[in-house]
Amino acid sequence: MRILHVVKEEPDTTTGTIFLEQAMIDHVTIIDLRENRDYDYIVCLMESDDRVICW
Amino acid sequence: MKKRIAVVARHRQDEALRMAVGLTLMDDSIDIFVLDRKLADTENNRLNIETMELMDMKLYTNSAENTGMEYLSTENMARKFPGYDTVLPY
Amino acid sequence: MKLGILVNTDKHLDHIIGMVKAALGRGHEITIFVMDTGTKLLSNPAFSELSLRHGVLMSFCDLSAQKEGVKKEGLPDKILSGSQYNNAVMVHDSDKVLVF
Repeated sequence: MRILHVVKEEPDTTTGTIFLEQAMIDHVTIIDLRENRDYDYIVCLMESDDRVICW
Repeated sequence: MKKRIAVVARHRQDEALRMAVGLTLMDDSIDIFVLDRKLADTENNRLNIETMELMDMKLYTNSAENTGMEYLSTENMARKFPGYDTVLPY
Repeated sequence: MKLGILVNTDKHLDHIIGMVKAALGRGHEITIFVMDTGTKLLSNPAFSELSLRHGVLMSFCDLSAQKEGVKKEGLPDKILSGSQYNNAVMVHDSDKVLVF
């Protein structure tokens, strides 16, 4: 499964653990909106990934 | 088609719970994950928890302080999330 | 793709506008539901006028708007004053949901 995490703020310990744990099983992409504002690219990822979680 | 939705209560627990109860209006299956801290003991939260229990909604937490909810480690929560159609951190 | 955007804070207007423009540009339908402190954005035309774009549906939780003291007069007619039911419909009908 492909999972896209869209991050708006500094990940805390819990969200960091979630990303790492999922990355051991699934294909995980993390987009940090504080650094990456390429919204077209993010929409493309959303089209292709199975799940999107916005933190 | 019935959807499986996870509401993840992080920053504003009361609004997350209110939203979770509202999400049942489309007959979807809603589970709640209370992260990192004890659920505040407020009247609104108590009422929403009561409603969730009546509706057989599942409540999970990674905080041992939350009695009456099923404890899951953060790692186990992470493994459960991909099983939902939609995950809504709040 | 049907994209849902749950706006529950007033902190990410730039991202909301950016995502709406990009998603519309790629031919997606967008539903926006506004609640909690996100309703404060309704008084900002840069936000409320997103509802006027073709392919965008916008509604808000009237209870939240009242709590936040948001004035509803002057909002575009296309914005629906609603309830958590509108959020339930959005989440149910959307392929992906972003939370801002």
